[in-house]
Amino acid sequence: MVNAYYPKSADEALRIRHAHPGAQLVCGGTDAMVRKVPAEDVILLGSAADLKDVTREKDGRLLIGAAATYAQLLRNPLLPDILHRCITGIASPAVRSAGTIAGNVCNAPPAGDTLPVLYILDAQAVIGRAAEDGTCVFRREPVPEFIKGVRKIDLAPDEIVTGISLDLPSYADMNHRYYEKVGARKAEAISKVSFAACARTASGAGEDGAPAGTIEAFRVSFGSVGVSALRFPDLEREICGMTVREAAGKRELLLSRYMERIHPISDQRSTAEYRGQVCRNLLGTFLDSLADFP
Amino acid sequence: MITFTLNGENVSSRAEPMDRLLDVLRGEFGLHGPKEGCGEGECGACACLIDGELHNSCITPAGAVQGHSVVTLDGFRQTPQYRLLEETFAEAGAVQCGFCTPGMTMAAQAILSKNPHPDKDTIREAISGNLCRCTGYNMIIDAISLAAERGHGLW
Ligand SMILES: Cc1cc2nc3c(=O)[nH]c(=O)nc-3n(C[C@H](O)[C@H](O)[C@H](O)COP(=O)(O)OP(=O)(O)OC[C@H]3O[C@@H](n4cnc5c(N)ncnc54)[C@H](O)[C@@H]3O)c2cc1C
Ligand code: FES
Ligand code: FES
Repeated sequence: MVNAYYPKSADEALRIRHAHPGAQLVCGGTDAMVRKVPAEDVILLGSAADLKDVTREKDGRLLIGAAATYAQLLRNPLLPDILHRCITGIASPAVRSAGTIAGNVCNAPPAGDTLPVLYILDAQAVIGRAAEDGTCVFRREPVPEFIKGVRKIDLAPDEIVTGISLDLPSYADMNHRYYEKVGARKAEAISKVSFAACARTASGAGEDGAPAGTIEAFRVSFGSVGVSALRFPDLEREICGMTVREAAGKRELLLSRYMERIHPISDQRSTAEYRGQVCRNLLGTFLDSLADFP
Repeated sequence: MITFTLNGENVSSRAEPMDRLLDVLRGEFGLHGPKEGCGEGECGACACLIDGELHNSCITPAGAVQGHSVVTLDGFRQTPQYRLLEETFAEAGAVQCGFCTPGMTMAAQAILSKNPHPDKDTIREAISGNLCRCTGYNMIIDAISLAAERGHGLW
C-alpha cells in the first residue's frame, strides 16, 4: 500500500516530507514514471498551488516554482527567451504539459536540456525543509553545485526543491544569445549535444573606457557531453576584456582551450568524435557571431 | 481513493498513486480510447486531456489527476467537435490502421481549443508527440486544417 500526499502549499509539502523522510517526490512524473521507482510514500507536488508560481524576487531574479510545468512556462512572458527556446525543443506537447524544470534538475541526467541554459543564467536551486516545530527554512545552492553526478543531487531526505531561481538582471543586457540542441530529429529526441551561450559586447566605448567591441561578459555551457552540463568560468574570464577582433584572432586557440576540457563519451545516440566536433563548431559559430552587431 | 472527473462524471478509483493513469482508464473504467503503444511517453497513442491539456496517460501517475478533469476519446466522441474531426479525418484519408487515431484526435482537440486557426507548422508541432506508422502525417495535418476551416465557432 502506497500512501499519497497532496500538499496544498510548499510549507505543507515540507512538513509532510519531514514526517516521512525519503518519501518520493513527484512533480510531473515524466521521469519518475518511466523509471518506476518503488516507494512507500509519494508526495505529489503538483497539488501545491504556490509551487506553480513564477515570481520576481526582490533583487530581480526570477523564481520558478518547482511544479510549474513547461507548458505553463511557455505561456509566461517573464520567461527569458533562451529558456523559451530550450523548452520548445524538449520532448513533445504532451510531455511538456507535465514536465518541470525542477524535475529535470533533480533527475540530474547528463542530457538534461535545461541544464546548459540554467548554468549560463547562474541558476540556483531553492531548497526547503521543515524544522521540528514546523517552521520552514530555505537554503540556496548554485545548480552546478547542487548536481553531484549522474542522478545524484545534494538533497537531504527531509528536503524538497521548492524552486529554481534565475539571474535575470545580469542576463537582461546580454546582446548576444544563442541556444542550439542537436538531436536525431526535431521532436522527442534526447540531445546528442546542446549548447547555450550569451555575451555582452560594448557598442560604443565600453565599461571603464574600453574600446568599442570589448567583450564585457561571456558565458557558454555545453550539455550532454559530461555527467552534467559543462561551464568553465576561468576560460570565460580570459575572454572577457578582449575585443571581438582580438577574440577572432585567437579563434583557434580559444577553441582548443575549450576542447581540452570537453571529453564526450560514445553511446547509442552518438560518438565521442561527433560530439566533440559539434561542440567546437557551435562555440566557433557563437564566437564568430559576436562580430555581428548588436 | 483518487477522486476526479472522468468524461464529465465524478468518479473515484482504488488505484495506487503511482499506477499508470492508462491502466486505470482502460482496466478499471473500461475506456479503450487511450491505447498503449510505447508505454514510455513517446508515441502519444495513450493521450488524453487533463484540464484541457494534452497528456500521455502511460506516464501520468494516477494520483496526479486527483481533483482534476480527464477527458478521453470515449467522452470526446459525444461532442460536435469530435464529429467534425471524424468527418475530416475520413475525408482526408488520415486513418489507415487507426491505432494512432484516438491520440491524434485528442492532440487535434488540444490545439484547436487553444488556437482555432492553426497554420500547418503549428499543427505539425501540436502532433509532434504522436507517432503514426501508416499515413506519413500529411493527411492528418490536412484533416486538422480542414476541421479548422469548417469549424466556424466550434472552437
Ligand atoms: C517521451 C519523453 C521525452 C523526453 N524528452 C526530453 C528532452 O527532450 N529533454 C530533456 O531534458 N528531458 C526529456 N525528458 C525527460 C523529462 O521529461 C524531463 O527531465 C522533465 O523535466 C522531468 O520533469 P518532471 O517534473 O516530470 O520530473 P519527475 O518525474 O516528477 O521527477 C524527476 C526526478 O526528480 C525528483 N524530484 C521531482 N521534483 C522534485 C523536487 N521538487 N525536489 C526534489 N526532487 C524532486 C523525483 O523524485 C524524480 O526522481 C523526456 C521524457 C519523456 C518521457
Ligand atoms: S503509450 Fe503512452 S506515449 Fe506511447
Ligand atoms: S494510421 Fe496507423 S499508426 Fe496512424
